[in-house]
Amino acid sequence: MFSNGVSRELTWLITTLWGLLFFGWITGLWVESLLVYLLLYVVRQLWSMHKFEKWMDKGTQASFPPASGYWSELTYLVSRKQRALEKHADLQLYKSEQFKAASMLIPDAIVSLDQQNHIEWFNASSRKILELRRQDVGRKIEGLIRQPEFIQYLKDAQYQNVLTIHSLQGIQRTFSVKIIPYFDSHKLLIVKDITDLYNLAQIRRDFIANASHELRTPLTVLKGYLEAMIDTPGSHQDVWLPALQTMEKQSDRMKAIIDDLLTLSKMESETIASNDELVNVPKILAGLEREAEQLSQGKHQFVFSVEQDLCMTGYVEPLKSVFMNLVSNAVRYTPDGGLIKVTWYHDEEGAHYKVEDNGIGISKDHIPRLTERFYRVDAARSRETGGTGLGLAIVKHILERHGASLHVDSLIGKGSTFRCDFPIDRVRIQ
Amino acid sequence: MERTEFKSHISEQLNRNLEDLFNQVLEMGGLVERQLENAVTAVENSDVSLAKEVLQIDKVINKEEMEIDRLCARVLARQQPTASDLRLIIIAIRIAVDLERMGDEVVKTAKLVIKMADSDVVCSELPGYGALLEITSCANTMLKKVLNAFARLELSEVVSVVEDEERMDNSLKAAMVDVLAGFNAHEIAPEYLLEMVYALRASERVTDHAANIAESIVYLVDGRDVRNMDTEKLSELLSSIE
Repeated sequence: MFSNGVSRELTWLITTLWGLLFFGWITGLWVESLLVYLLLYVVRQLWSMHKFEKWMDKGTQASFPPASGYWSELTYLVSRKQRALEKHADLQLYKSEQFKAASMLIPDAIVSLDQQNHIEWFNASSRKILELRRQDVGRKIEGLIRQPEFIQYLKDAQYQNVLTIHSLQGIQRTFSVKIIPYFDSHKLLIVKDITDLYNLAQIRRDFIANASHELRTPLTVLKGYLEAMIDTPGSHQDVWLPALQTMEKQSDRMKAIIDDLLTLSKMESETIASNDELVNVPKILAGLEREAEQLSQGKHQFVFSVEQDLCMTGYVEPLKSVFMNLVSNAVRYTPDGGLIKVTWYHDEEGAHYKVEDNGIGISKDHIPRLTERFYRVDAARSRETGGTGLGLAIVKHILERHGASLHVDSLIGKGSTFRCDFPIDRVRIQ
Repeated sequence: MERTEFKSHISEQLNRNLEDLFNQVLEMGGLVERQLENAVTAVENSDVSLAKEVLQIDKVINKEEMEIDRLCARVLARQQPTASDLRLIIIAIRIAVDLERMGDEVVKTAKLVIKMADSDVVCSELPGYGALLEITSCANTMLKKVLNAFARLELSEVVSVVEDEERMDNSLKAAMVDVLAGFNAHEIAPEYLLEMVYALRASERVTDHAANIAESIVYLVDGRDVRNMDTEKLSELLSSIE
């Protein structure tokens, strides 16, 4: 019926009222005793208040709380609440300690920076990789990691990119440096030693480049003799001509694959010899139209719609091979009589090169893997049409070089759309 | 100089200017570090393109020096700082000059690589090659130490810089004896040997400048001028500070 505090207070009141009644009955001074009683009650309340306040203020050890009536209940509630809070805080502390211990053990260097790039905390690996010390907390990171590339990265604030540095604090290893903004404009700096990975990728690239280069020479010799053998007249030709012609066809195919591999490894290696220049895309596409018609031998219908004043900056030869690869794919995978539409246009996002066909189409699960090397949707068909399996891989790499991306939409039986999106800063209107 | 952050002034502008100046000096130092790293690798691998990069970086360093001078002049003209702030400005100018000179000296080492690339003599066959590598990479670590000392405003590594500098003096002397023997042997054309002499002298000068910067930092942190003090007295002084 009553809450604990109220019932305790009532118990106290009733007990003392009995005392008052007894006193009054003995002395007969009813009014005076009642007044004294009321006065005593008020004094008790004030005294308890004072003690409670003192107890709250000083903490549990310093002084004792009031121990009777409503106030004792209040004390009990407060101290219970406090114990719960302390337990919670202990648990939180334990959890955060655990988290801290885990982050200390991560092998990558992790440094937390505040808005002005002051160091807030760092993990144990940072001591080794970045040579930070405990006293460095609160110092600016630029003062301690002075690599010009890093400072530039920090200034540019393009944190979606990853910075690769080949030496850090005098250590000649390859590191990937990434900054992740978090928690109210704070930053997390993550430095990872990727030397082994980097070397592995380098070895793989070098191997492909060297192997294809070495294969090209013997192949040229073979091709030369094959041509000579085909051109030699004589009775043996009746038996051998078909075989020789197949050999020549296959060696042409092999040469195409090797050339593509070389192009690919050139794209992958970091230096492109020429600089960015202005590419007159409409002119390239005009030439492409003629080539495409030759390739299709009149079996397909072409529609080219090109914005004549739209040019872009980039690398001419690689771009030509992007445009050609996509068109020749369309020719190969569109049945005779099909329609191929090539569009070059721009909008506020950038310039777009689009090749649409109404050919056989590609099923959805193949689309993400199309740009892998030697990936083929239908191996038999692709070989028959003379593909090397590297065309789209080359396209992907060249587009990456231009900061562009490839989008593929396709419906089986309806045809496919390949679209290259070039960023707006490469667009030049003439 | 107790504080490490520039928040102690009522004037926001002065805080900001001093911090800019501090960072600018370290940024310039980072460039010289990169230059030295490149120079060491270029000498080791006879890498001409890396050596040419050293020449490119030198131009940026020269611009940085002007920028630091401009920042210093701005603070002096507008805020008239005193005590440790004034010392910071004085040594910023001094460090900038030293760093710029260091950049120029590294270029001389890089020029050796470029020159040797045209000849049929390999760098590593020249007398004094080992010493050149030793001095250049030691210069690199010295610069790293002094810049860290500047960034952290602490002097624990400064003594070792001064000691390194004396050690490199001796290395240079020994290398010069080798090169002189090379002149007398007449096996390698004197023009290449001469280039080697320039490179050796230049690398040694780099270590001198690093030691100068170390002395400037002692002045900044402690307010005492320790130039022209011999090593024993200096290390005594430095250990008394810590």
